[in-house]
Amino acid sequence: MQEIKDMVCPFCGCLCDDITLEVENDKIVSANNCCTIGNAKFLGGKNRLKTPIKKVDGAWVEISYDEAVETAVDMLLDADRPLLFGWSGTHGEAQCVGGPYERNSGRRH
Amino acid sequence: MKFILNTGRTIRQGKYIENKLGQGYAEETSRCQIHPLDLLELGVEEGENVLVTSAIGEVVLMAVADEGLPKGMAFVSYGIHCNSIIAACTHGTGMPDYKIHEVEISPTSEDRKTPVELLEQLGGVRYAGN
Repeated sequence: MQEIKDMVCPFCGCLCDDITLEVENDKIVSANNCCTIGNAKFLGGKNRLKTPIKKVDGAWVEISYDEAVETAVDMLLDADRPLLFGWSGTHGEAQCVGGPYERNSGRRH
Repeated sequence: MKFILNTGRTIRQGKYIENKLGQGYAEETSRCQIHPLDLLELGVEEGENVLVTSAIGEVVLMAVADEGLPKGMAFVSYGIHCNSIIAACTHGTGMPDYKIHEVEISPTSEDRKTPVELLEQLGGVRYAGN
């Protein structure tokens, strides 16, 4: 069992940096000093994606990281009007377009 | 009845963000908090469903009594449900009216949809992996 002190919680702008984690077999088994949301961040993630996925013929398939990067490059090169969305400087109008999709893949801050 | 829709973060919504496919997130983000006196006027009891209609869409939510709200205001936590009825207009500010949106609220016997079902309506495809 490995103890990690002074971990920084990545969830919100508070950036609490006094979190203590315990790790066993590459998994976080305990998180000390987090708020409710920090706990969920470190200990949750039941449905977290374990590999990149791509929609092929209307269904999702698992792909490698290399293939995911190549696909992203192709999409950006092919795009006439790319919508880049989800970072701290995102305009509200872009959020309205990306919002419903973002809700299921990330969060708005 | 006319209401102002206010949306925002709650601790439960923040907790369940890590599992948006789960029951907890579906439950928390499909609740509509309303002042008890407004519920009386609506003829809706806590736990019953309401139809919340904006200029661009409608969504079924479950009514919850909240004395801490001003009368005439409804609160829904950030999520797919409230986002599905908030208009894209930003009045030139770059920010949609997430916190002050005119809606009509009425009782309904329809069931709530899950976040996944709402996204499928928008053209999303369910991922059944993991």
